[in-house]
Amino acid sequence: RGPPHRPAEQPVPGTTSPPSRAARPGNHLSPSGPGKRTASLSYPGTSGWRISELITRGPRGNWFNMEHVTSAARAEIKQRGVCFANTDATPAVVKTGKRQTPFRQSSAIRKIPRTDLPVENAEQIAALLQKQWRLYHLTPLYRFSYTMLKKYSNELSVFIATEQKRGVAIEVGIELASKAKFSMLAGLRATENDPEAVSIQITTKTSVHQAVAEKVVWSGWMCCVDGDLGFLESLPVEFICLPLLFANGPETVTTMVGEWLQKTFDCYISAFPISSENLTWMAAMWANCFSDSVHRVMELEWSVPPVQLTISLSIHPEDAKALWDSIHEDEDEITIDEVELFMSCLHSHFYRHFGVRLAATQLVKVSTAVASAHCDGKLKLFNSKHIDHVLPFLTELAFHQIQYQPRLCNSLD
Amino acid sequence: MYLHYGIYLVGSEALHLDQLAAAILKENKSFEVNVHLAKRLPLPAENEQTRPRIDLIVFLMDLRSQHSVETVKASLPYVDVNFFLGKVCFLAVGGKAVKHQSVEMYTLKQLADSYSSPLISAELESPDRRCVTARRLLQLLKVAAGLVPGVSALALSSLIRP
Repeated sequence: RGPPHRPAEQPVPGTTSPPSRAARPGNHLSPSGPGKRTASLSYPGTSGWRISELITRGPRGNWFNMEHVTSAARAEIKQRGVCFANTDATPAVVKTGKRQTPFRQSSAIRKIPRTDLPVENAEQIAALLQKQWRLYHLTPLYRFSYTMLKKYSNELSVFIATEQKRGVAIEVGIELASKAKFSMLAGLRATENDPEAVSIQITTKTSVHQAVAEKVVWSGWMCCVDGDLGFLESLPVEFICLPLLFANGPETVTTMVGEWLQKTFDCYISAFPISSENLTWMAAMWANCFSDSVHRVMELEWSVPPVQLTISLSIHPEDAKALWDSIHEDEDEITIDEVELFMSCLHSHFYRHFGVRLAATQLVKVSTAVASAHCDGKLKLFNSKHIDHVLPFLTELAFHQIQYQPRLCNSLD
Repeated sequence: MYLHYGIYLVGSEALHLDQLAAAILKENKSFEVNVHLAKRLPLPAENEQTRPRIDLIVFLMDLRSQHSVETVKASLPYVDVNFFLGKVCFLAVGGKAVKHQSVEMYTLKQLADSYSSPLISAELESPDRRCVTARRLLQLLKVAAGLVPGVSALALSSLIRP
């Protein structure tokens, strides 16, 4: 005799049953319809099927046959929450419950920041616009103090002077000494927890027509806008987290400044490549803020590496905004479904007109009236009013990289 | 009777399936393997009768191309349910370069979990990486074809159940 006979469940097509995670004990007799009893194997994970049955009926190329699986086994499968594909074309995808995978899902919903706040420090921020910035990751700085900015300026100047003496050229034709200047960049923090942004400028004196003029050779700034609160609070007191470093100027100077920062503050600078997925987020977020003042076409660029081809698409900003408005619902948030729908609309439009499947290519550049971003980590800001749409997202990406994917490369690229 | 075990590689042509197939055939093994390539399923219906035996199906997905993931998702319904007991494997290609990724590894892992099959990250650019991947696939094929005594495809698949 065995345990009381349980009626077999009839699987209902189109629904998924909740996963049962309770482990079944070893040997048991499974229910399989009136009169039939099948013995099951003793290790967990199988559901009362006979192994020999499966091996003899091994697949020999029958693609549309589900008769091999007995109804009892099907009931077992249903109970465990696994439902394999039916013979019709629509698959029943199973939800197997939350599982700790080593892969992290980046957030599916992102908030739209408010832009009605007045911009402080307008002139300094205006100096950040219209320049091609190179992005870098910066790990938290150790013992960086806002009161010692003058000291840092002097030290960096001395460092650059010694490097120049050693023969590292800053720019062709510059022989006179260069000077570095650290200053606070107000107006770039979103909350009270963000550290103030810092701007670095390297100027050289050039003699033009017997007059000595100062020329800015290299400029950079570090900021943290709306950073991850949990991470910022978990940092020890001596550390200041300014994860984004923007640099504009010759590569040699960037290397020098980077070396000095790494030596002085025990931090680490690494390159900041932007993935295609994050570029699509940027395209959607920037299509969302439509600015009447600046009329700039929305440009997207895809690259097809095997063929060395670059495809560039220009969209009228009003059309982009109209398309986005028809997809976007919630005032405060953007979900990943809206972003994917936006991109797939553009893909299908392109496919219909040109026959090129953009889903198989890689998005490398997004350019709108708000900003322009390239996958190598290059950024250009156009509008000081919409700067809050760009920087919090980049800060979030930087924090994500610090926390979950630290990449230790041995050079600045 | 001379048995050839069949392994099917399903994926878009940009992934250079033929190079991986060559790497699999070059490996030293004690049994004969036929490698078949397909861009998508279902296979054309003409050769239904003479189709050789299929022991392992490998679905290749490129993290850089949303299109390859969609192709695989559209092909999965055409696979007989018995295959998912350890005879199906997913391969995620292109995870090394961050800047061209348009699909997240998390989505691929969800897909593989929903079909109770393993997901292997592989790099198919250089010959040694192809060699390593080929060796791994051959090991899976050995289990799936029943050549390893004491380990069946079902046992292997039960190890990765959530």
